[in-house]
Amino acid sequence: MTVSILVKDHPDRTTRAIEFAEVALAKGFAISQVFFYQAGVQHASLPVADRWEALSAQYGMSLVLCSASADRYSEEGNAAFNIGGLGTLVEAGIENEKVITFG
Amino acid sequence: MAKASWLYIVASVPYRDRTPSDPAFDAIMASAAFGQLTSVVLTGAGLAYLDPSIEPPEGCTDLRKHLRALPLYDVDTLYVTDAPSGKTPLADDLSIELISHQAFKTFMAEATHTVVFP
Repeated sequence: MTVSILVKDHPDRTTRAIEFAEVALAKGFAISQVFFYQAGVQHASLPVADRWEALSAQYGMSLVLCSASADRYSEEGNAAFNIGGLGTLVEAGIENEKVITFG
Repeated sequence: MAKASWLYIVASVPYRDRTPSDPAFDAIMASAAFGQLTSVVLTGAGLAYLDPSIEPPEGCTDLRKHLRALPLYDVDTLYVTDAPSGKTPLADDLSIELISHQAFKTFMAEATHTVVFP
């Protein structure tokens, strides 16, 4: 199964997102994209960012910060976390069998 | 473009985040603008979106306008889990349909993707 992940809340309230991704990828699921929306964009600047970056480097999934949310939370993105619009999330929903939401 | 079906469940009050735009309606309009099959269920505190007396806080987009614009995005029906008590801010071409608990469960089971705004 191919899935994408939508993370909508602060890392303290969505720790299961990274845990799910790590387990799912290890078990052979394909995760094409993780889209961070609203307070979820703070995953890019807290310690959990290192875990996301490691997964992205190992499995090739893209990490996308919603542009409007990134503005609100003063996240600028980096080489691992790209900035994108909600259309990126919709495209992932078209290309994958499921969008799994945390938060 | 290929189509997926997106079910948005809005269960939080309007203007909760006091942001210029509304995260739930931004997502709803994005998927509809991309030609996706988009359904919206207002439930719990989310039913307040239908209260025409709620004015937008300063700096926030008037969500009543967003609601009236939904038919332009081919969202012609709003589903609710409780009937609104009075007049709503909807346009004539946007209907409200009260759904049962069972119908709600069926919606969730049949949607390709479900996104909840709690």
